[in-house]
Amino acid sequence: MAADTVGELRGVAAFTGMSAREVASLAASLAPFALAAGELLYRQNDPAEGMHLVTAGRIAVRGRTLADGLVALAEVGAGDVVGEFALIEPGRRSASAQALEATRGWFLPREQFERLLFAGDAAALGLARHVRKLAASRTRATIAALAAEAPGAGELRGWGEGAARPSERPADEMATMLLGLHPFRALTPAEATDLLRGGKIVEAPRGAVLAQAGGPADGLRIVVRGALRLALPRPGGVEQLLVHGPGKLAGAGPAVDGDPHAAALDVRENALVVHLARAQAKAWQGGKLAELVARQLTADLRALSRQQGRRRSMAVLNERA
Amino acid sequence: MCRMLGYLGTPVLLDHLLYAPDSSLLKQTVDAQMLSMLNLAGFGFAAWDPAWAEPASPLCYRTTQVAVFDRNIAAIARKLSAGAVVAHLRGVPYRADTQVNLENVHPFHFEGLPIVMAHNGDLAGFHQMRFDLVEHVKPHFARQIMGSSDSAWLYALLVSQLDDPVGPLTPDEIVGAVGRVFALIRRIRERHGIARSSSVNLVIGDGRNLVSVRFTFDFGRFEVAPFQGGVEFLSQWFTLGCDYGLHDGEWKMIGGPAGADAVIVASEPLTRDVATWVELPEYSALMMSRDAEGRCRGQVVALDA
Repeated sequence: MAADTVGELRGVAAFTGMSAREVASLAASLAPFALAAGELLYRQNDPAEGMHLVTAGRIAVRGRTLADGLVALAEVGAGDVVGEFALIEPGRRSASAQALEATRGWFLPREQFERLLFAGDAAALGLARHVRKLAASRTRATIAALAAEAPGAGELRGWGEGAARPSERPADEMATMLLGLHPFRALTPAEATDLLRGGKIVEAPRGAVLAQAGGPADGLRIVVRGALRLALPRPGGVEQLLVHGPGKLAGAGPAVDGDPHAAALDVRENALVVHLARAQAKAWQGGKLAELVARQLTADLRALSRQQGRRRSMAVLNERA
Repeated sequence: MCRMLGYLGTPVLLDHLLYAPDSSLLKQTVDAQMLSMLNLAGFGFAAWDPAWAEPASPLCYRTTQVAVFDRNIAAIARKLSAGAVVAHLRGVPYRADTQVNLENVHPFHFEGLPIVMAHNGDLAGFHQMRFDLVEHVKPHFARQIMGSSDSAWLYALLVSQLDDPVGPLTPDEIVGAVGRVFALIRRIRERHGIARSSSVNLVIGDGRNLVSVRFTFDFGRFEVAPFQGGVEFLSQWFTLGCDYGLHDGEWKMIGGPAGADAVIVASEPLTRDVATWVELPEYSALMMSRDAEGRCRGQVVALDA
């Protein structure tokens, strides 16, 4: 690949801080794309096969919602990426992307990216970190947008009380429980034991508050049994945002970006939780846990976006009625 | 575990809910998106339409046949349009002691009442709890319980908690009764020391209102690894709009929320493309009704039992 192309790619925010050599190693996996004004790059629900880097032009990202409504999500231009979550979560596109003017850039297929990750390529690892941070930051922005709007009438719930305490469950029992959960089946028994050794196993009763909204990032929590709740404190109660049951990771956003909790984290049902402090969670960021964190972040983001769409649509429905 | 759906709106051909979409209810017999088991233990629906005789009383169809092989359903679905539907595909553990019979096929309905109920989930320790539930079921309803399952009893409890089950009912009355049923089940579970995850997702309809409930007692508290290693199969979804049909190659409603005159609720979307569907949050109920002009109105409310 020509040096000027590498130079062009270094202008993409996702590659900030990478050396020319690192960018060149990723650039070898890229394929060019070009769109005429109005042309569709991909459609919502298409298989998500990779990320596009825009070097010229503009792309509108739009999502459909209830009653086939269309919501403008973002506009991206030169130096931006689009469809980046395809690199961390195999699945389907959560929005459509359409060129607003003649647009060109580069396409990074997930398959190639995964090969680079598997080989420990520094640039690919750096890009994966960047995409996880992007997912964390969008999750944070969506929570802030939800917090800025009034909750639906009748949706407030009560707070509880209680305190977490260390669990006395034997390590081998915990490892078996962890490996029985779908997302953790990719771990070997040795990896599960290692993961548990690095964390604190706690039992927390319904109502216990594990992290306050605005509280410092304090690592990652793996729900083994029971359920944790991400919630926004509101006058007169709490608004439930997400419920994380067995196999889910709570606090993935703050664990990735190190910023304070955007919402409170409490216990919805008596829970058994593995708590990895931030340094321990970080130590796992290059491995299988990093993949699980990335998938949890995108799943949370999708659920929160759906919640936002639902709330707005119901408000329109009842205003009209 | 089961699959279910509810519809309220302008009359729709049953075929468009049960067969036509790429993940229609009957396709979920063998190929559900969010549940990795076969749903072979019966199928039933209740339907209402203002143009039918005795419009408050539902037309009920139930079979223990594997529904995809039932040519009667297919024939009816191609001809019959209804303004309200509650349908249920029964999935049960693959065990010899499971009772597969007509009495346990959903939706449940007592003669003379407009209201029906379908259930997805199971109440852990139901056989321990059953005798404590009897006192909360009105005697004339207790005599009508034919099924042996927790779902049959849940329906009897629900109608017993309604001040006037003959109706007409409001969505608030239905959700209020659901809340009282959950509160008493919570107390009886505590009395028996039952703390195992027990899902009580419901679709309740009476031809005028549609209520979808997503609720699990002690969510996530499994003694062994959860079924299929996760809890995705415990979801409830809904979509709304108008003119439900095949638009641009996709089964969906259109028109934006301001024009909504219909709602579909389901255990999982009826299409592989879930863009126009949203999830009902855990521990919540969606209550929908239609006004005199046929326009939908509704609300999601918290259930904190």
